[in-house]
Amino acid sequence: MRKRHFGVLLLAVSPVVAEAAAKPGLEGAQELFRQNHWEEARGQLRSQWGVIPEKDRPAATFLIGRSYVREAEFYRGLRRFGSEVGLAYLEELEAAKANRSVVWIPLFKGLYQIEVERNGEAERQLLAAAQSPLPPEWKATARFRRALALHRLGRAPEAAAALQDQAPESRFCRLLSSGVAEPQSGPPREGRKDKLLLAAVLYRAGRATEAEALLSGLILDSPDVEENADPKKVLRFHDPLLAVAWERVCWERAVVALKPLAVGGAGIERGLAAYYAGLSLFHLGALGEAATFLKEASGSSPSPDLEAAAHVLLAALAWSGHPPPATELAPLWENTRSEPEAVLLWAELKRGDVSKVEPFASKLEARLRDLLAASPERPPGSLVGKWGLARLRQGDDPAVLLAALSEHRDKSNKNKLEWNDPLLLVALAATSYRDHEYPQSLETLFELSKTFPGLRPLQWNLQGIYAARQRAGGEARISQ
Amino acid sequence: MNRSRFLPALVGLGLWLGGISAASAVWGGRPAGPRPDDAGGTPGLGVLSRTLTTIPRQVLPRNVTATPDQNEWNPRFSPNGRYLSFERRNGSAQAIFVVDTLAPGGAVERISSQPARAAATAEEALLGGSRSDDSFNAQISFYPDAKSFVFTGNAGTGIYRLYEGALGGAPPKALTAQSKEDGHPAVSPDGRWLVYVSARAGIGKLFLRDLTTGAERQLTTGDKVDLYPTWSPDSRFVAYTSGDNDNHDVFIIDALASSATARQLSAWKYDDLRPTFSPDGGLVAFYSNYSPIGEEKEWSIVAVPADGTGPTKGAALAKLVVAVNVVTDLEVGPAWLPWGRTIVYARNLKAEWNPIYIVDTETREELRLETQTRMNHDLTCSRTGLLAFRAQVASWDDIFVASLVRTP
Repeated sequence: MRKRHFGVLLLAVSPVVAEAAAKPGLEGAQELFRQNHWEEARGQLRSQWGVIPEKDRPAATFLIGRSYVREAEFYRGLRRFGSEVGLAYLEELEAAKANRSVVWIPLFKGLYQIEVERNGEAERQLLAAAQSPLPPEWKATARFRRALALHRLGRAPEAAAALQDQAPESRFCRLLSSGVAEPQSGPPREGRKDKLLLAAVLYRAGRATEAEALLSGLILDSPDVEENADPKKVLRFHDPLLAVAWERVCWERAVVALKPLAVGGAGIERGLAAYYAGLSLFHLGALGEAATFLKEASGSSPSPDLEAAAHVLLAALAWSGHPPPATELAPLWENTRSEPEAVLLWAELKRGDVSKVEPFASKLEARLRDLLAASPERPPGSLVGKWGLARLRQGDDPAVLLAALSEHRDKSNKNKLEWNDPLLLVALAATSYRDHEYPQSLETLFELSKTFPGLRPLQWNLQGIYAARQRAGGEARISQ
Repeated sequence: MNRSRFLPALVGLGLWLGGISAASAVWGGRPAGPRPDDAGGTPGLGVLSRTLTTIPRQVLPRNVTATPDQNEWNPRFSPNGRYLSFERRNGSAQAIFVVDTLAPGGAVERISSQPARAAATAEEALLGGSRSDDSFNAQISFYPDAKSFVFTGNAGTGIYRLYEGALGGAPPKALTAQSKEDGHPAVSPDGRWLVYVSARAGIGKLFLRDLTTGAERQLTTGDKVDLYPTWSPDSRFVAYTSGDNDNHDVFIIDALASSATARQLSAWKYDDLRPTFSPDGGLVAFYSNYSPIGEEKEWSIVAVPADGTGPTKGAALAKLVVAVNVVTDLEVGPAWLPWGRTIVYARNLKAEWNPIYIVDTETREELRLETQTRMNHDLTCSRTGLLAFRAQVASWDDIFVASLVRTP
């Protein structure tokens, strides 16, 4: 209450909303990019491509590709946050006696369990769901996704056997489990989910134009199932696989935009494009191709931070599945620990086998904790956002983390993209949620949803949790 | 873009003030100048006080900004009256600008907490360079040397700190580091002290910084928000506003006493804001939403003894109203002329474009200053008698200056 007075005082002298870039061409697009209006920046370049001077085109191409990488990182953070919230919401629904007859709850709970890497529970949950009175297409979903869980549990033959179906969902699960992209050659699918999953498969098969045709006009925000058994209460269920597919589409778009520059470009653009193409392919699981581009990036020395990050990624590719000995880790860690981007990549890899190697794990944890404090300059918001999400994943105290993240937020324009990086806002929303500050989390998501599609499932699920836990969910806004 | 581009600052503050209560009829003293509909203070009528007779009745202000399609506001003079600062928004940045009043048409220096820097990485350069200045900067206060200064800035972040710099010098540096919400800096006239508002303890309170040693201490306590600190001419006392959304009062505190208790200069139900000291330090003037005729939206200027011996409420305080229906300029506060105990202000008469008046606080006599400018406000006056104010030109606000020294 006390804080409010001074907050309002500062509001009284706060800047007004940033104006949209009025400059044409590359310069205007760069301004839009800096204001985190990525889609608009790309739109401006594409609509004015014919008048962009030849000398500016490599930079324009790089901006398009880089904006997709930013978008992919944003949706990656959002997807992980959404998975945590989605599962928590289903657990809330499951706990309510009134919902015992709702057959969708066990199914969707299993789907979210996969996304938070609780594969054993997911496998059992989905096995039961496949035998429950679900419509046939959702029984198939339970089978395909159980296969995905089986694959992640190391039971690859069983998984492969369960994924022989030619349905888009089965093909997409095959892509996720084995990296094989086999787009169907038949007529395009009609359903939203099928279109998106198929588009992701088409992209990986190198058929970007067909993929984009399927994605045209796709609505990401509607629920997959609405349960109306209780007329007073509509339950909405969202398949988290759509968020997985959408993130992949973003990475794929980045690869398509950056590859020509990484292969045929010159100078600094080439190295930078190679790094980000390699990073995107790494996240897509295309490890061989990723290694090619990362080696190119590493050789061209785009900048110390990206060079260090490329080394970390290349090492991870070399280890793939085989935990490296401490003697192998130590020199690489020492050579890369000063670069924040590389440290965040280490934190990402720590989730795997590397986490068991000591004293590396302890050193990484200490470095991650102090990563921003050691920065001589104000770190970019995207870095702060990644750092916040990494610390949240390792279970840091959300109240402490929220205070740390808030230091990097523009309080006068606290949810405005022009002043706050979208990934920082995702980290703030996720941390607020973890700290049980549901209205704040919803408020931030609401602002993000004005620019980015696909947030509605997360908003609905979080609203449901808020309603269940606080019994005041109606106060928070999801939509205008 | 029009006036509304900068109005949020005032509108926001107006909202924050809130709780403006209807005035009751406690007016009983000597009339505080003519009523708004009198168009009073007619030049040439009656015998003016000695101070007022030295002031020209008509001036031709010089537009020192004259920028098309941009607004400027909050003029402030350096202590010697030579440099004039104002604020201007450009895109998403709000910066402070300083002009040399002795060099008309000369260079304008831009002051920001986020100086331009080269792209840090090759990638940043490829993407068009570093992020452009999107910082917020305001509330400059000059040191006695008139060249160096301190101001509020956020360096493009959500963290508001005080920054220190010098005209023509290196980029400003953060002066306060431990807080996230610092503002309203005021350097004492002798340059020894800095008083400012900080919410580091969760609520806006005054802090005192010894500019020689850098030592700091909290000057005010309590559970109310303290704002708008201002120094007495002898660099000893600080007057300020304290209160909450419903009511603010004016206080004064001995800043040099180690454990001083604030003395309340007003204690009624009206909102009292933005005190300023008379040049001799004997009076403190402030805005009050007390209106002698009970007009809810009217504001007055009240001038009370700075030593706290005057009334703090009721009819006795109402008698100390020296001007009514005034335009409130919260950024700068009531503007004292350097001579006598005289205040220059804009009267809230929209039909007459907010004309400028000068009132002798002792005799209550008034003089209307003809300026041929429109929608005047944000008035301030230098030690040398140079008046600066903001006025409208083709829907945009510029900063004007005019000398109030009568030329032979």
